Amino acid sequence: MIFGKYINIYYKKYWAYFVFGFLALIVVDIVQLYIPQLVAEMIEKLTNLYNINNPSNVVDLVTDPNKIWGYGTNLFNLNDYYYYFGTFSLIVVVIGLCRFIWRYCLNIVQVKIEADLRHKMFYHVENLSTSFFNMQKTGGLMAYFTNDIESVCCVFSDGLIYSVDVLVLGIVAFTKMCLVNWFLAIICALPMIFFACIGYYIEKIQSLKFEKRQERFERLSDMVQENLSGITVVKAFCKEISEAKKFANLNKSNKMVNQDFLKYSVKVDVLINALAYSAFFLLVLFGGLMIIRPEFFSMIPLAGHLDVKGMVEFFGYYDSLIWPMIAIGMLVNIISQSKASLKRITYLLDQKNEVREPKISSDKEFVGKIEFRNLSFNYPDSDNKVLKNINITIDKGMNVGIIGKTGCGKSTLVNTLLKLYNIEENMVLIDNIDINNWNSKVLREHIGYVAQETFLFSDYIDANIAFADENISEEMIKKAAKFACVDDNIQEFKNGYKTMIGERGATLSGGQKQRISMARAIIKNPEILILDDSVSAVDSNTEKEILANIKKDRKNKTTLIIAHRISAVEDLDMIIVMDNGCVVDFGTHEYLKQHCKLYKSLCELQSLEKEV
Amino acid sequence: MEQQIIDKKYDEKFSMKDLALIKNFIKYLKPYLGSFIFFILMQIAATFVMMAEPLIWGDFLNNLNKSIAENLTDIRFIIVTSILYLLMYMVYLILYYFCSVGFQRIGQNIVYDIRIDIFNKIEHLSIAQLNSLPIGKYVTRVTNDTQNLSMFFTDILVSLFRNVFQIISVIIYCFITSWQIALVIVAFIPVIFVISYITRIKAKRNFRQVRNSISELNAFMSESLSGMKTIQIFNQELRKGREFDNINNKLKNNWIRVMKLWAIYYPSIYVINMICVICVFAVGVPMIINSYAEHQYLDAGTLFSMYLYTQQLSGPVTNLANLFNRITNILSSTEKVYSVLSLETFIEDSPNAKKIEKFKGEIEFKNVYFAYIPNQWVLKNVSFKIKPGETCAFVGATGAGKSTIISLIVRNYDIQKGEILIDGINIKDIQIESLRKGIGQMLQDVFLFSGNIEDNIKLDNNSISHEEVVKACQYVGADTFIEKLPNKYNEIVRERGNNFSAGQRQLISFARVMVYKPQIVVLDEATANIDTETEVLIQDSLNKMRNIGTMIIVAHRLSTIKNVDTIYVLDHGEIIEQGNHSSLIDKHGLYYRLYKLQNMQKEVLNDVQ
Repeated sequence: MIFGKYINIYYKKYWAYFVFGFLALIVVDIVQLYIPQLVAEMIEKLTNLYNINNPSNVVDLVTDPNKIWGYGTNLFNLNDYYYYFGTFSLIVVVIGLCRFIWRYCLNIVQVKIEADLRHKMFYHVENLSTSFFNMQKTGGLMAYFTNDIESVCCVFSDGLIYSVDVLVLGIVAFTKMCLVNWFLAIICALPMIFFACIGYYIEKIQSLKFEKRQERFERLSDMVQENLSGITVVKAFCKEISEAKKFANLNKSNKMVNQDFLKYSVKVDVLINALAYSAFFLLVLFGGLMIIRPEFFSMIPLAGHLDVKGMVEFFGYYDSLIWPMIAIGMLVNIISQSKASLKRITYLLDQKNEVREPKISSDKEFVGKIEFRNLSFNYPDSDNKVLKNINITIDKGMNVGIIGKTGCGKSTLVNTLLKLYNIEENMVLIDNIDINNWNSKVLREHIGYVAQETFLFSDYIDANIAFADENISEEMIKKAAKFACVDDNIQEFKNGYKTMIGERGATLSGGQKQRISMARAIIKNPEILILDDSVSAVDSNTEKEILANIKKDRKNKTTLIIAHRISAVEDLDMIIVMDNGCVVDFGTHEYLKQHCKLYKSLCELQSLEKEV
Repeated sequence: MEQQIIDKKYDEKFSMKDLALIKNFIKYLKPYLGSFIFFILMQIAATFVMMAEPLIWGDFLNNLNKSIAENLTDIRFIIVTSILYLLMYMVYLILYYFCSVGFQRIGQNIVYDIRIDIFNKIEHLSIAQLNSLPIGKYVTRVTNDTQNLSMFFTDILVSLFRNVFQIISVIIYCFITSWQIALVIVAFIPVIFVISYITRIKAKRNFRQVRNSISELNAFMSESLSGMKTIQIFNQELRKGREFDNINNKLKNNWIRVMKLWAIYYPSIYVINMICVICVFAVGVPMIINSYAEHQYLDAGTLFSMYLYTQQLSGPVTNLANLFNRITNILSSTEKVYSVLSLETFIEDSPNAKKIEKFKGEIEFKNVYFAYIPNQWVLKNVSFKIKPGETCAFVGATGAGKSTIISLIVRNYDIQKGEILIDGINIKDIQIESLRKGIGQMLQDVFLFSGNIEDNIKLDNNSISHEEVVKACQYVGADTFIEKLPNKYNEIVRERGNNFSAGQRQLISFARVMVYKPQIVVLDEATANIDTETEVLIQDSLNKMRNIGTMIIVAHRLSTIKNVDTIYVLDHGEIIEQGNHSSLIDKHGLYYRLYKLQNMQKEVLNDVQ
């Protein structure tokens, strides 16, 4: 069994499943041990027939089988017949029923806990900060949700079943063996006890070999992957044959490791069988001697007595003991694996969102004034200042362009408004209130953001546009699409707004994606709109149209536009020119053209580009 | 998608036609057929040996009873039985060990052989064919699908033989001792088989739903995790959470459906098996009693061995039923492997292709038309002739068809119309290998393999000495940065070479070409930004390389090509201007504008710096 702060609640929540499953398991384990006894008794009764030295006596009685079979108290009569088959059937029914119950309870509880845990983890991860996601690769995060959950939840079904089998079936079977004959019980159990002791190591080695096998397999597939990614080079240098040789080598080592692993598995199998059945050999030898020549064992207290019935019973008990002994090694492995996984899951659930949230968020009406006051900023994982000493005030309703080279800090500057990272106090103020006193949810409610790298969900176009609010009307969606100049493109699709995006859906051009993500940001008509280089893949006519829409529809609302092209910003109220984390200058197009050297040369360059 | 379609096809049912697919792979079993049959026989022997166990027990009980009844104290039969028992088990385990290992070895050999074939096939497909499927698909064809396919020979066939013989041997033993009891057992076999078979079909449908919801969940999660910033910025955590719950619950319910089915199936099979046991007793007990009347002495020991047989009955029968299910999985892999193996390679040597040791280096395009997709011409009526030893360059906007020209010279693609001649010979008549050996290619996508620098320059050609590698690096100017590395030429190259800068990678790829001493060099300049220092280095090495032989440069930076003999300006797949740098500048055409633009860009950048 396994316990931990994040999973104990599930024992409580699903106690009924656990209790009934557990009881049913115990019932099965105990009741199934009555079968050997029953069979032994029947065999004994039948044997007694044979023990009558004069079989002709039987004949007389059997000729009237309706009344009695055999004679004397220990013979098989009709009542016995009914009794044995009645009991046998009853046992089978009880076992069948209980097996159903434990399978039902324990397997289903495992599935339920798995789903609950996954739910909890997903909701938790959703509230972690951007810096957490920068640290973790998606693939790595996925491992928590797949492998780790699975191996933790394995304990709730397999782990529990194995434990009960080991403890109940193992102990009861052994006790019953001892009751038949303790000496024989110890002799016969020795090989399996030996196996139970080494079982853990055998499984350990097996899983090591298995890992090695996986590792070789991955190497092979990495090689093929790399070869195909670089196939142009391979072909250019006529390396097909030498690559094939390389492949053959890996393929061969793969084969060898596989054979090694499989050989080991077979060996383990053989070992288990050899040990298990060596006990049967001992049973035949010692049991037989005890029955025929009890005097051989007279010096061992209470060990001398055994009859055929005892032997048959013993056989059945021992047969039931084999599985629990094998299960010990498996159980230890399951538990150690799930402990490791539980540790990882606990680590994940212990992660906290680093971004400070105020206890009470400002409830003033959101206006959209932005002020950067001596803003300096570095990302949590480096000391390199990405923004240096920025001082700008953007009033409500201004349309502001930000321009500069790649990597100069434009995106970082606008990202500070989204509260993705902690910012020192009184460096960024929104509506004259320090951003640290804004609740991120409230803040984001009023900001529309179009990221540089568009991320759309594998969903319908309209659902993507209505991402911020599912209940928004179709008209609003259409309006937003029109604003972003993507309505016409969407209409051209066969399914219009109900076109699926993503791997299994339509492929959109970069520009279409950008405009859809713009429509998504604009749909709520936010007080602050941020376009982070969002028109880069849009042709210049469409760009003009979008800019006109911004001018027209976003009066009295703040808009920040990051752009590479001068043409995208020249008509705005203010343009900020950035370089190397600093603001070089800001002002209108006309002003900058005269006073800012960097801006001027950018203008000239781009007018020339247009010519070409 | 394709996976799902194929899966679905085989999930419903499979016909003999599908099994015929496997016939194509029988040839892989052939080399091992002798040992395969040998191991099958061994397997049968093992099964029969093992089946003697209940008999030994029955006989032993009878002997015990007889001794007790007649008060005999002779223990010889005990010794004999125990030794017999030990012997039987040893023989069985030895047989079992050898044939299991033997089957696995054959299976692994078959995987090995199929993998070699499919890999070689893929290596020789043309670039166009390779681009038609994502790389990951090819990788699974080579790795997983081959493994699945080989299971047909190891798992399916072996399991078929094992289980069938196990059932047969039980029936034979039973018939020998008592035909009535044997009949009872035989009657139950189809019952168990049918129930198992039907359950498996249902289970498989449920399992497919589980698999689908798992992949749906995984897709949803990996999307949500990578788009988490978007979700958070739009405050949509709760909504995505709800969507997650939907899928999560769907998966849960599908699993529960499977679990319920198993919860019913396994206990039922147990109960049916035990009913069979009870029936054996019910028939057997009166028979024993009656046998005394007829002086036949069917005895308790025999009944016990019957009991043991019956108890083991459900195992092989359910296994057998399961086989039909597993086979469908294998068939879908088989089809996928076959679909690759049966591809025709597009670009192949013609039967009378010539092998050419050394090129003079004359290259001519005669009215070449080329399209990647039918009728969307990338090159239209392109003609030019480059004399041996000349250096020329192709310039033009993105998508003008510059890089395509290089792909055509090395025959990555075949042209639709016109002729490409090298030293006056149509390249279709030259062996592809000798063509590509004579032409050194420096590609735009500088792909470095994992390994070290030297490996990447030699590319597994061990006839190249370390000195030659160093010389090549010096020649292209790569030695300066390599010498500074802690491990010099043994410096590890990580995945795709991302521990080197773009310029460094470019220089390594230059050295890689130089070490093979080609007579013609084609260079597709990297588009990525390169710092000024590296650019100077590259410039120098390019100037040196011009002495090697004929050189064709696809240029993105015009500064690279000022000194070349001829510059061809491409626009929308046509050559619109040609001449040397100064004549083209004088012409004030497209080249002039491109040149001016690039100079401007540089000035702006310098300004800023």
